[in-house]
Formats: sequence, structure tokens, C-alpha cells
Amino acid sequence: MTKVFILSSLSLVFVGLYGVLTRKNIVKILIALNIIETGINMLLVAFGYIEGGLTPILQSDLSIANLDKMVDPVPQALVLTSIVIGLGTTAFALALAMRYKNTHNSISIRATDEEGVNV
Amino acid sequence: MNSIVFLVVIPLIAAFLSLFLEKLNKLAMYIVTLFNLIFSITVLMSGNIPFNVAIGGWRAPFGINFVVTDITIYFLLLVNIAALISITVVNNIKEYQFYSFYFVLLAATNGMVLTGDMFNFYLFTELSTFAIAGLVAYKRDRLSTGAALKFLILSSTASLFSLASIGLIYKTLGTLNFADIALKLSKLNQASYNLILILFLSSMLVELKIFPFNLWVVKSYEGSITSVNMFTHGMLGTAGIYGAIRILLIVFPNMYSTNISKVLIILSVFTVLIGEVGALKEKNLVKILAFSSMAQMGVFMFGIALGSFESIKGALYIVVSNYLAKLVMFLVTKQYSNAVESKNYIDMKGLGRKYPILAISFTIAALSLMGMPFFAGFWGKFSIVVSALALGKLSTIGIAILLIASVVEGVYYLRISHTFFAEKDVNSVNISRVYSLIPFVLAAIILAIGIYPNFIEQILWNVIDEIKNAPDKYINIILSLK
Repeated sequence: MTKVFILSSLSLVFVGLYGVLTRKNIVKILIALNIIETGINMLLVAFGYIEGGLTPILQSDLSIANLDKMVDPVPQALVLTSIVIGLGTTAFALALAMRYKNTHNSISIRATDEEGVNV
Repeated sequence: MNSIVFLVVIPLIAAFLSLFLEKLNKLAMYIVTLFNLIFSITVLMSGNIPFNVAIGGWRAPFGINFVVTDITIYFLLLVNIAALISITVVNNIKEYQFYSFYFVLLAATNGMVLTGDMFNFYLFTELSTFAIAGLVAYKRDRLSTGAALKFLILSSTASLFSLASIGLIYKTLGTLNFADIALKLSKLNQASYNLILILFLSSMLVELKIFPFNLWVVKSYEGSITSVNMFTHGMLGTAGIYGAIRILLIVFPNMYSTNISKVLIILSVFTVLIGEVGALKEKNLVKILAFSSMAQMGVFMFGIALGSFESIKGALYIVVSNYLAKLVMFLVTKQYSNAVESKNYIDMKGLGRKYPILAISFTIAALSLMGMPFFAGFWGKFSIVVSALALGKLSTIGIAILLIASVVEGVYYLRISHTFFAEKDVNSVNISRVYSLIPFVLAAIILAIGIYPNFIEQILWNVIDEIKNAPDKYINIILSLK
């Protein structure tokens, strides 16, 4: 089961990476970024997953006796934080995209090319 | 010394308060920055270094910890001094957004330097990325909006890969603490080690402006106001350098036995070439400085990638000289371009005759970046050349290209200095002499380091000593091993 999670998360990462690299529409790029982020979050959760594991909460004697069957809670905490970071990035980038539309009259990422920095 | 967390907490509180302070924002900016600077000087003088603070009382491998060692305290001072110098050029800004982003940047860069935890480092890096993107977009025009959006997309894509590498570290080693990772690193097999390091490097190279990841640099510098340029260079850049030193040299010290260091050598040589050639044909002074700061980062990375202690010392000299020189150059550029209302250096013809102190400071900084003897940058390039020649074919070719590139650097910098001193009537221009003070002091420090390097050499050897004896001086302190 863990292998399925890891494979599907990696495929999400590559789908998103393809989107970031090939799309010109800024909103599509941001959606692709969110797809990468979902993939990475899923990867982190899959790293802490145990087949048939228990919820990592100490609630009864039974759960204390089965400590080694609990899934790892640390990656889940990391994922919560990174979801918040992703929300911040997306909101901020969309706000910038609105201003980009006002200043460039376009939401294509290529619209800035005419300023001409040839790196 | 639990109070070290104030360095991060107080700027964050100020970032919230700045929404309500209105006209007092500028005063609050000075108070918070001075607090951070004085606090870090107090820590340096207190004699308690090194120490380790476990936040919330959770001991090191389990909780988040802040560490203060020799490297940390010097970089903390560099970040906070750069903040203080940069805010002296902030004037006529009334929007609270600017101040709010500045406080977040201050908190994030201080946090990047202090933290001893991989995930915490990632969070602070992301936070500083937001802050810089917001500050770059401050001008609200076409160029700055595009630059901010591109920087945000590039750096968040890169940092997602570093998140993946953090996940891999946790999966393989079961820890996120810098010291604990360094201790358990020998248990890692070569393939996972390479994968982790490559994924993590991708996000660090964005901040270090190394070649495939530096497409954001020129537009961000060109599109933003001078104080933001100085934040990007002095605060974000310095914190990124700290991250490179801490992570490449102490947490993952086995890099030199793999091919990654060779790849880094090639990338840094490309960075230097692109930076110098790009600057050569530019007329816009801010763009020239952006290209040149890329090139200097390339030289720094070359020194780190060579991996001998002599070359690391050279790279640290490059850091100090580039840090001082770019601050001088941005200050001079700000005054001159305000005076003639143009960023093209040809329009600044003749200003050096009327305001010689600014132009002489600029020339001193330029000579130091080129690596002329008797200036700070010379000792850096000297150490790197000496150790590169001893380290085989690839590094010899690399250093040859680097030396040719510094000749190119000399050409365009001296052309600018010559334009400053060329004859032209500039009586209508007026610059207050007060603004000459800070560039003059910084240029004097560059000269002092160049002529009498012993007082900074001692500090650099302390830093290198920590890298050499990382188990004794870093790992055992944090994990309280005997």
C-alpha cells in the first residue's frame, strides 16, 4: 500500500513540474505548483505510514501496549505546516497575478520579455 | 540565554503592530533593528558562546533548538548591521506593507541564522522569500510586479524540492536536527545521500544566485528600490551564505568525496562567466551591480566547492569583501542616480569631481571586488588561487577562467569610475554631504582589511576551526554528548 502512495505522489510531482515548465498562463502555473505541493505532502505522509497502523494518540492501555504499530505523527505535523505555507504562497501569488494583469494587460508569463534581459 | 528567541519574536510582533502604527512605523523600524543589533553584540560580548537553547524545554534531537556558535554570531552581526545600514536610505515611505514585510524579513533572516533544525530552516527560508517578493513588488509598476511574481514562482518550486529532501532525511535518518543528522550521516548509503543533497541544494542555489537558478536576480534588482536591493544583498544573501556554510560544510561534510562538488565547481564557473559578461555590455548601474553580485557569489561557491580549508578561508574573505563593497556601491548609486534622475552611469559623468568622497568610495569597493592587492578582496582571491592550483585539473581550469573574468570585471568597473571623474559641468546637481559618511566608513574598513588583515584573519580562523572540529564544537554541544 505504501508503494502505491509513493508512486502516486511522485506522479503528481512530475505532472505538476510539467505544468510549471510548459504553461504560460500564470494561473495555470500556480495550479501546477499546488499539484507539486500536494504530491510532496502525500510523499511525506506516506513516509510515516504503517500498514494497518493505529492513530498516534495515547488514549487507553491498549494503545500504550501497541506503540510500535502507531503511524509516525511527525511527518503529519510537517505536512500541516507546509499546507499553511502553500496557502500563503498561493494567496500571495494570486494577488500579485491580479496586479500583473493590471500592469501588463495579460496573464502570460512571457509578457515581460519585451523588457529585454538576455540571460 | 533563553532570551535569544527575542531576535525572532520581537520583529514578528512588530510586523503585526506595523498595521496600526501609521506614522510611527519608521521609528519602530529603527528601534527594532537597533534592538536586534545591540542584542547580538551583547551576546557576542557575554562570553557564553557557544550555547544551545531548546525551545519549550524539548531536548535537542526531539524539539526545535536555537544554537549560537562562533559562525552563528558573526553572521548574525552581518545580517543586523546590513539591516541597519539599509534602512538609513528608506525615506518617504508611508505604506505599512513595506514596514510589515521588512519586519518579517528581519525575523526570517535572524531565524535562518539561529536555527538548528532542518524543517525550521526551510520555514524561515520560505518566510524570507515572501518578504523579499513583497518588497520587490513595492514599486507597483510593470517591471517590479513581473520580477516579484517570477521570483516567487521560481523559489517556491525550488523549495518544494527541499521539502521533499527533508522528508527523505526524516525517512532515512529519523531526525531533523542539524547535529543529529551530521552524527548519523555515516549510516546513509551513497545513493540516498546524493539524492538528499541534490534536492536540498536546489533551493539553496536560488538564494545563492548560482547559474541555472539565478534568472530572477537581474529583474528583481532592477525593479526594486535601493533599500530593497540592499535587503536582498545584505540580509537574504548573507543568511543564504550562512545556510550554505552550515549545511554543506558541517551537516553534509562528505560532499567532497562525491561528484557533487565537481558539479558545483562547474556551475560556479558558469555563474562567474555569465555575471561578468552580462555586466560588460550594460549601461544601467543597478543591473551592473546585480550581475556583479551574481559573479561574486560564483567565486564564493567556487571556494566552498574546492573544499580545502585555505579555499574556504578565501571564500569567507570574498563574503566579507562583497558584503562591504556592494553596500558602498548601492549607497553611492542611490545618491548619484537621485541627483541626475537616471540610472545610466553615463549620465553621472562628472559627479565624481564635485562629490569625490562618494566616487572614491565606489572605486575602492570596485578595486576590492576585482581582487587588487591592498584591498579586502585580494586575500580571498589569493587563497582561492593558491588552493585551486594544488587541487587538480578541473579546479585549475576553473581558476584560470575566474581570473580572466576578474579582468573583465576590472574593465567595466574602472570604466564606471573613469566616467565619474570625467570632466563635465554639474553645477545644477546637489547632494547633501551627510550621505558620504556611511560609504566612506565602509570603504575605510575595506582598505583596513586589505592592508592589515590580521584582525579579521583571527575571526576567520575561529570560523574555520568550528568547521574543522565540528564534532567537538557543534554536534556535542547540541546533543550534550561527552
